[in-house]
Amino acid sequence: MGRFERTVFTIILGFLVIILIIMIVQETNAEEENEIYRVTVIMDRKEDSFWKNFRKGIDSAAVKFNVDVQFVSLLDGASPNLQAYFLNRQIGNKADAVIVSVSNSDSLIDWESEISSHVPIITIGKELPSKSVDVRISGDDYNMGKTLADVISADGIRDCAIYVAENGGNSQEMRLEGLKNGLTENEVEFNMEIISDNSLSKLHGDHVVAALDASDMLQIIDRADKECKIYGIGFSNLILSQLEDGNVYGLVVQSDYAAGYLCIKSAVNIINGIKQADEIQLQYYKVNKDNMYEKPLEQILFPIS
Amino acid sequence: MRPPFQKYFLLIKNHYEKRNIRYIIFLSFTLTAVLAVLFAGLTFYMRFSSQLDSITYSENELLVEQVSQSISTYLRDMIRLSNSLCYNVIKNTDIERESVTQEMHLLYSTNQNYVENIALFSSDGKLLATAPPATMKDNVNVIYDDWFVSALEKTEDLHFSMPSVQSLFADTENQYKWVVSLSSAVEITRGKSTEQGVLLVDLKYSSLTQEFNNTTLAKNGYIYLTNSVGEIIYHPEQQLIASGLVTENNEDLASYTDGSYVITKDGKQSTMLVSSVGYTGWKVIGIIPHQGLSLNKLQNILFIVFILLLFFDILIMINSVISTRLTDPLKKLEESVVNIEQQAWDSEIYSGGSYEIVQLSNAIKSMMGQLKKLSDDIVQEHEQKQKSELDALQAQINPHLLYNTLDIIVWMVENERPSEAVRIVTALARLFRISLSRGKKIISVRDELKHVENYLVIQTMRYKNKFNYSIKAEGGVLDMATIKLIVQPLVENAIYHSMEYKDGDGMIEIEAKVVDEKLIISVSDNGMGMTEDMVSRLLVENMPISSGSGVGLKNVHDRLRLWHGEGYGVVIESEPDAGTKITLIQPVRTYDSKEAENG
Repeated sequence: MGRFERTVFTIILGFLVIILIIMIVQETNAEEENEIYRVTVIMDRKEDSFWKNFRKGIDSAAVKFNVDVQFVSLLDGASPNLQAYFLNRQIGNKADAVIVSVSNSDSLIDWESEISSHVPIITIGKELPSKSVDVRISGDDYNMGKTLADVISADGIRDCAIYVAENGGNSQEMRLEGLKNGLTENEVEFNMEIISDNSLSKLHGDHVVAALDASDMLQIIDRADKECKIYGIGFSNLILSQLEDGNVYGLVVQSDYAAGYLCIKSAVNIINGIKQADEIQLQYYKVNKDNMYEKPLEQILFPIS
Repeated sequence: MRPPFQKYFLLIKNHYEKRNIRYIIFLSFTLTAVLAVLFAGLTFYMRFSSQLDSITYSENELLVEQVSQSISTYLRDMIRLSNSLCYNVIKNTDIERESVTQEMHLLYSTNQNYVENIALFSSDGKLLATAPPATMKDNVNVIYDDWFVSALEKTEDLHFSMPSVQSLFADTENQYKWVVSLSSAVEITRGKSTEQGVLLVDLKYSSLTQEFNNTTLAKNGYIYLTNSVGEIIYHPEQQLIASGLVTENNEDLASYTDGSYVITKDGKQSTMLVSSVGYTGWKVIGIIPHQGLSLNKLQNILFIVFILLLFFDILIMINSVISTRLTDPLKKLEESVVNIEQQAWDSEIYSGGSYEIVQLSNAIKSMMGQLKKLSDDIVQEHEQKQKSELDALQAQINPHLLYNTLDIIVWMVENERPSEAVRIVTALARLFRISLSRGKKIISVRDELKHVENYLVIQTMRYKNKFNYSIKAEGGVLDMATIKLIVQPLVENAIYHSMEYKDGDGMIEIEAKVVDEKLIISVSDNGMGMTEDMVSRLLVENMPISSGSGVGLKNVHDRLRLWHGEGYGVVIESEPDAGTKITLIQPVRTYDSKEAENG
């Protein structure tokens, strides 16, 4: 082979090697694209309706993003430390990401101090003052509270009772703050009632009651007379049924389905190194008996699986 | 004006002209093959890509069409169910006397995989019958519902609603189910009178959308269902659309008829396939993103480029081998020729490679053989010429002749015969003058004859009374050109070999004439003559008759042949005891003194 031929041969061979490398990288990336992600969801919420819709969102995103989802449900009354235990276990099992509904932020703060993990963690609801959390998906709690105050005021209510769970956490505090500010702005008088475990007494007469989440609202519905006007944040099928029946007067809701979808989407994005916002706020909607079957509320309240 | 590409053409031409044959063969082969492969590859790529796209689109069109057909079939079945309820159950039943519930339930049971519930309402919205058994919610009034209003407005049609949550009937488990309502006006018989009512068949949304869930289009493609104005009935991401997380270009779908369209969504092109569903005007929409389709993927293009480059590399190796095989024998042949050029006459000429090169080698070998022979001949001729000229030079100054002549002159002076001495000295002087002739090799016939005459004057003085001579020349012959000193050796032979034995009756005749366009100079004597055998040996190399005899004749003959070529020379005619005649034959040429000096 002459000099010129050797030169051309070597140049083309060089290009071949470069293209081969690119192809191998592409093939590796393609394999990564087809990789099945293992994501664990640790749930603790009491109300089934939230998890039902949330799970629909999770399942939809799981199909779209190729995720194998493992659900871990904490029973009512389970020790708050159990969540930290499950978190440790899932990280130990090399889950690609963990989605956790924070039940006890204190126990998780302790957990965080003990472990340093590179596994992406996405939280729902309560805020965890933690550097380990990559994304928090929550409603716009303060404005949801304030919007609920607007709904109550718009119905001509002048005074109401706000029922708050004893260990509501940061999310409920924000909603409460928004609700109180809204009621004050609308010149609606209010008083606070604390809901301890099974401590809620029967509500007689035409009380106006505001609840800050669906589980509190369900307790109130269970205990209240039919004359009682109930307002609240969140929903379940029972609450919607009561709304239709006229026992619940107004709701402020967010899309639980969207929350589930965004959890998985965020987890996959973080796994793939795509930068995510630290906090994703869900859109909220006002719901009453008349608009509950209108679009888009109909699909938000009754997600199609 | 020169065409713009001429400059580049010249550049390429110059580039090529300066390169060796191996480079040209290699580059030409490679470029031609590369261009051919690129052209063929590009053509095939475009053709296959286009065909693959076409097949993909056709398959997807077929899928969309199949889904559309399935939905049509499903809806037709539901219409048949509704019609069956209308005409076979409700119309034939007097509801004052008997209930339609049982037969309605029977049909519901048969179709419960597709039907959520069936209900018959009076025109004022009162529930008359339902299957399965159910109670209406307290606060529900159906007369304002779209399905109810539509059924009574267009009594001859069946009406399919948009999907909605079933909210008519109380559910103890607070279950909310998605349905598509099929409503139609029915004739209700009450005793002898009839009145209008509305039949509602709530179709299970999941049964309607099952076909979509089971259908997958090309990678990242999807399929959805809208009503005639583009409102979404089913979409794989309709929850996300409702939440505002995903958007779909469904607003202007009403303007699209069945077929395929190229649309742009999120800045990316897709093909949209539209197929209408019978009766309802619903549309099944298939979306196929162009990205990732068929051969357009970067991976495929890279693979094709990889294969092409691999092919080029292999091609280079093959071309290199071919050009080497073709040019190596040529190179070796060239080296052989260069060796010969450098005077290595005996070096071997390479012979190998293809047939043409072997032939060329053989031709060069043959040519070299001839060249060598020619060269040898030239050398030999040159040597011969030099020898002849040397002989001629020697003939110019014959020391014996000079010695004898000087003896005679001395003798004449001693015997006081001055006039004879003067004559012989004059003849000798003229003889030498013509012999030298300022180095000329060609002289006029006149001078040549004068030279012979002077020679004969001297020799007659020496061989007194032994022989006589005569010199004749035609008028025009004297100015013709002849090789110098070719007659004198013949005369000398005649004197020494013939006249020496004569007693005054010897005769030498010299004649110059033109015969048949040839200059003929002959020297005849009446001496002893020669046999044929002797004559035949006279002009043959190394075969003298006796010592000294014939050498001068052979020299003259060779000189004539060297100067004038074949066909010229010496002709000998001789007969024993009769004499000998030697004829010199030369071409007829007019004497030119300048030419003679250069010659």
